[in-house]
Amino acid sequence: MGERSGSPAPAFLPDNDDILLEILLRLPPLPSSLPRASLVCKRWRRLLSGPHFLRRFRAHHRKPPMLGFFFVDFDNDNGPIPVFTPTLTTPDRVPPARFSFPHQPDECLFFFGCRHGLALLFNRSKLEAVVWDPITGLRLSTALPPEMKRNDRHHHLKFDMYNGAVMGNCCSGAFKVVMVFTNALYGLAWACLYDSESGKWGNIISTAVPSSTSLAQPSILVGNAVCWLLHIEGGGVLRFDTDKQSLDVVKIPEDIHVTNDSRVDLLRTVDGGLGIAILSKQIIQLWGQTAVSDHVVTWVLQKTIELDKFISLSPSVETQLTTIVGFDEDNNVIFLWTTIGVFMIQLESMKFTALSKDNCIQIFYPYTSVYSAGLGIDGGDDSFEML
Amino acid sequence: MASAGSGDEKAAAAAMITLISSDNEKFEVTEATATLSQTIRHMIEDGCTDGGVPLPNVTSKILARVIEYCKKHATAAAGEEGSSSSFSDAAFLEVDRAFLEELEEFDDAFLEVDRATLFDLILAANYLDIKGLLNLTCQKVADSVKGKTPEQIREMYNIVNDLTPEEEAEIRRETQWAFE
Repeated sequence: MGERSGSPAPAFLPDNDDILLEILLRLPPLPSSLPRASLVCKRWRRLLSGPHFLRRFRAHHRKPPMLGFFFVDFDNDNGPIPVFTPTLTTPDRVPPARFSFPHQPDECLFFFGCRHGLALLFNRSKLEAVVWDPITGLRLSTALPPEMKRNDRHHHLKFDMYNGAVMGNCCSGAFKVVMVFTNALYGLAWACLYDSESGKWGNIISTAVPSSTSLAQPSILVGNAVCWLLHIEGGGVLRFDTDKQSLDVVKIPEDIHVTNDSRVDLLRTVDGGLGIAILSKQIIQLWGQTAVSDHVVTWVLQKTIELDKFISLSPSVETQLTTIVGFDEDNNVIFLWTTIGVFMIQLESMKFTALSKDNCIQIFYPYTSVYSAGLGIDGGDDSFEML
Repeated sequence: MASAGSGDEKAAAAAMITLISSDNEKFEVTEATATLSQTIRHMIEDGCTDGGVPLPNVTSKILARVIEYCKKHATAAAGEEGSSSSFSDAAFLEVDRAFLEELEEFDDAFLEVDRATLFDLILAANYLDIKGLLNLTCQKVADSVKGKTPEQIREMYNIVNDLTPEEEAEIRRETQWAFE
């Protein structure tokens, strides 16, 4: 211990910008961290608002926290809009108004969810993908490639279902968008990838899909592949490989029992693979794809969650309504809707967190990001590239 | 292994480096331990370590701690190199996990120091360019301000608030909720 007794001499942080930066980079990636640190003194503020700080801060924190979730408010007078609900506690609770969507008059947008801090919407009438950064408030639109539009106008090829996914690059601010469309009559799905760095859409590719395809749920990113469940009763997984730009359907093997009263949801397993959750009679089975060899994969039952051991639902018709309504692939959290409220379940720790009661069963789109607004930082390298 | 005294000095001397603290205390360490410091690694590569490496910025008290850290982590690095061939080998992962746990315990105990010592360790890690130690010590400081208000942070680290009221108001206006 110290050589001196009594009160020690006051300790001062090293008088060195590089060292202070190293310390500030390691602040927790929570929304209150940077605003609070920037209010300590001029020097800290200057370092935090420096040109590369934010990029380095994001790169350092590879796993950003879930700030909350969006759901779509269909009662809005000007058309459906995404509305934010924070799930962190004070002082990291970002107020909903901070992430209000910059809605334009008379537009009707479909919300496809968030990834890497960005949200993706779709303007059905204009056939435009709309990427929105809730933190900077910027929204950018890009029209689908002309071939897609032609398909849509031809009445035989009218698209029945569409979905999409956005992927951001935390360091460069660039992003990619995948759009997928299906047509029941032809039993086909089409997909196309947009890259903000080139400003162009890639080739349109297609694959055969079952006629019952609904593409109603948000996507899951597994490695370089974006996956959508074809139908809530199963039917396989539509997979778009963003590297190879290939599209195929992954079959769910028959020995994974999906009965009429069960529901299937896609998820990313704890080890980063493709997974599905099957919910039936208050039991959730988590299945994951595991590689047996280079070319062979198998599905393995990874976990069984008996919900009645964690929450008490009265054994009545009510339990049949229990539904998985969202999944945070970054933090392995599922959102579970029940008649007694919505719960977040962390799949590794099995921690249940009750959210407010919600009468309406709707999709929860989790939003994870490093909150960085309000530091007096000019857009600079932080704002994503203009289209 | 024991003492580098008489006899076959050549082999032993080749692998040993003498570090000299600011208060002129000499520390003899293996090259594997010393080269956790990029600064010393470059000196060895340039062949300028004969007669010892003077470290005028590091006191003997701090250098002793730094060497303690490097010894532990050099052993860890050597262990990893020896067995990291097949990643899917469950037995290896098991050994690896136990090793990492032990290392984590060591790091936790290592950080049980007063603030002045912690800051001296940061300065030494920065000067000697020891990435792991810099990460460990800076993370400790960053963790200590977690959940603290700006006022509490200033008090902890004797920082004078030199922001103008206008600057303060501007930050608070943008993110009032972060200060509640």
